[in-house]
Amino acid sequence: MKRWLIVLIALVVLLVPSTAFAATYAEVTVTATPTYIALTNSEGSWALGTIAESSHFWWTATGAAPAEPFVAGDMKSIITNTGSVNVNITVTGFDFTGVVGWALGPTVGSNIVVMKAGKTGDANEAAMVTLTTGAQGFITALPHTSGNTIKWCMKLSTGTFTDGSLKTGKVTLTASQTP
Amino acid sequence: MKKLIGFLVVAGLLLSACAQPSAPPVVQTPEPPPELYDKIWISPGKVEVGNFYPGARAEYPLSIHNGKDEPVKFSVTYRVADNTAEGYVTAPGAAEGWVIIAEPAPVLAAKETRQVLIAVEMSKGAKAPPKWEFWIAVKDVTQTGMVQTELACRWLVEMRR
Repeated sequence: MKRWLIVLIALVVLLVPSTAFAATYAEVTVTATPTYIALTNSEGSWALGTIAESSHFWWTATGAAPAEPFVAGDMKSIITNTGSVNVNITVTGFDFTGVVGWALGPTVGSNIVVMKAGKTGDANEAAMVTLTTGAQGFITALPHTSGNTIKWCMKLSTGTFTDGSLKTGKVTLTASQTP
Repeated sequence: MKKLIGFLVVAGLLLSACAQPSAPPVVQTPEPPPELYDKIWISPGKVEVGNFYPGARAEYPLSIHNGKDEPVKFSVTYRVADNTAEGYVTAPGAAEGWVIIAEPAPVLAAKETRQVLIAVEMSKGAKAPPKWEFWIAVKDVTQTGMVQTELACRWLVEMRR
């Protein structure tokens, strides 16, 4: 009897802990597939030079407003998905800095400018993304195989200025794996 | 008989020790295509965490490659997801404090690939939606032009039900 009791206790020690863990804790799982995110943009700068108030400037192949709908030949820069998966690309603007900075806005104003980003296939200027300091969707599911490039452009509209100092702006393109 | 009992006790203890809830992730070492050798890339593009709960920790190394011919300084930062996978919502505001980036400003030599450990350590008692997402953004901070690029890795976290 005593021996059977000891065997029974041993079996309980053997079986109970693992079943208890299985019931109470499902393990935290971490999984990832080795995909590669890589992106290039052919034109990194836009040197505007001296610009006037209440004017419009295009970052296109010729510096002029593109034909509508936007065609590749009129665009300025080429984005290429060089990674191993399709990517979504968001665009984020930053306020211009330099003594009295220029804020990005939906309409121009005193020290407020409007910046827009457009791409091949956009129907017209109204279809362009008006940049803000928050990320906005720009390109969805850019392929990583054939057709892995897209051309794009920008437009800057100025308001009025309170100083004539040099201004510096920035735009970031962020690529993430298409869900 | 005593030997048998002893064996059973030892085996039981060993098995119970093996049943810990924090198994390390299986990391698949990236083997990038040759054409990516001279590009800047990150890998993976997406990390999925399952059965997560307050007090738990999950980690995975993010590989960063410097395809340039000179050293590059990168920034590795937490980023609120610009968009989310289906069924997921953006991470709660507190999540930024749960994410640990082992090396937030690595400087990589030319053509170097480095793994930066990313960990999510959710506070005990904290609350989160059933499925939430955040991003880890990697940027070459030596970029000087007006237009700059950034690469992001999605972290999809599903809480234990």
